[in-house]
Amino acid sequence: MPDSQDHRNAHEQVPDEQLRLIEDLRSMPRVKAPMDFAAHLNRRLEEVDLLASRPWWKKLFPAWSTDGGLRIPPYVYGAAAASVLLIVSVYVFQTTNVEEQMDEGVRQQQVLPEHSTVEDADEVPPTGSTSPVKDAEEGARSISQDPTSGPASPAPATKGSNNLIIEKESPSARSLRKGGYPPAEKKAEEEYAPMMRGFLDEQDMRLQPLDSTARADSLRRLDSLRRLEQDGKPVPKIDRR
Amino acid sequence: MTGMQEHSLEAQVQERIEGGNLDRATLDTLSDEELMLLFQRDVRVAFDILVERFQDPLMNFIFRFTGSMDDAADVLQDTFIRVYKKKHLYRTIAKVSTWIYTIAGNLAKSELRRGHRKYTTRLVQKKDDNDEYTLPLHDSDPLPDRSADSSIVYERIQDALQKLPEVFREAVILRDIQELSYEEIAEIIDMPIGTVKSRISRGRLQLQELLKDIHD
Repeated sequence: MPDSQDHRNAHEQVPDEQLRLIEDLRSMPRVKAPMDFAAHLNRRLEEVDLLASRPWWKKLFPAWSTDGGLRIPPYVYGAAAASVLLIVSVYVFQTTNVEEQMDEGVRQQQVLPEHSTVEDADEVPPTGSTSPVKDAEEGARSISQDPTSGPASPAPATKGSNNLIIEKESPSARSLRKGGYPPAEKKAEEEYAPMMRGFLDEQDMRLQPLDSTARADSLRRLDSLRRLEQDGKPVPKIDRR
Repeated sequence: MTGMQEHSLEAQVQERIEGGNLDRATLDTLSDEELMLLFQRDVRVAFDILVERFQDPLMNFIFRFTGSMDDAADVLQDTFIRVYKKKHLYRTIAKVSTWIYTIAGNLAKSELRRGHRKYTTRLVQKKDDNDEYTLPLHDSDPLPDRSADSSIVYERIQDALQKLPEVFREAVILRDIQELSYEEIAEIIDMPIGTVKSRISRGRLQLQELLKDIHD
């Protein structure tokens, strides 16, 4: 930049104490570009030209470098990892029987805990009797004999509302039924559902639609109460609130 | 550069291309701006001459800014490759030198922020090592003891420069090492001249503080 040389220091006011510093800075040795800089640059420029002359789809896969070695662009690693993950996922999905796993899950839910907790019992609806199971059984018997004459059912619950447990199945429950219920659930279906229906009619309560998990949970609790009673152990008090 | 000058420069360049007198000796006499216009019209020799003109000053600027020879060489290459690829972005309203310095400065800052190369190349170490980068110094002092003292001082100054904030360092290097005018520096860092002067002054004060034991 020879044209800027003449005016660059024309009107500069520099404090005396800085003159030495400026002198040192200006006398610092000038570093030059490496000797082979032009050759390196030209090689890279050739690559730039080569890349620019390629069609766009070839730019995505720059194949061979000038050294003859394979040059893999970074995104290829990501794409390869994603492909492997996809293949493994499809394989695992196809080789796994999802229905069997779901059956196993329901079976595990049916296994009763060794000691029922008070919290479990608290969630059982109040009956007004010392034995909620007996009450439920009685209710079930009465409703099976005469479904319209519930002992305390001035406004009997609609069939649809009380039968939600049985009739309105979730898709997962439907798929379970297709393959047949596991023994514990089948038993619950046959024995406890009528009991519950009678009990609810007696109390003039309406059921909310339950999903399969909540349903299995309710049945499990009822079963645990029943076992406690059969074993002669004290049944937890029911919170009537 | 006014619009009228710009048009006349382009006309001259067009005439040269049509006249066909584009031999190396003729091109060497042209200004940077004329060479850039020729390069924009795909005269590759013009680019080669620009590289020859700017490679050493830019290398010095980038090395003083980054403090690393390896980084400086990489950034220098990237600078010219960017000039090569973005030649159509250059407008003759600006000087070629300030445009290239701006590119080099931005790339050098990016390189520093990336910070993947932690090592630095010291001036004295490189003189001892039989490395790829020999430092051809312009210092023609023949006395070895004076040369050794100077090397230590220069090394201290380089270390002090690295301790300056980037904005002050850039301004001081451009002014006191590259010896550019305030107008050119203002164009390179895209700041008013007042700001440039302030940065240079504050940078010098900080440098003075860092180097007080040398100057006392």
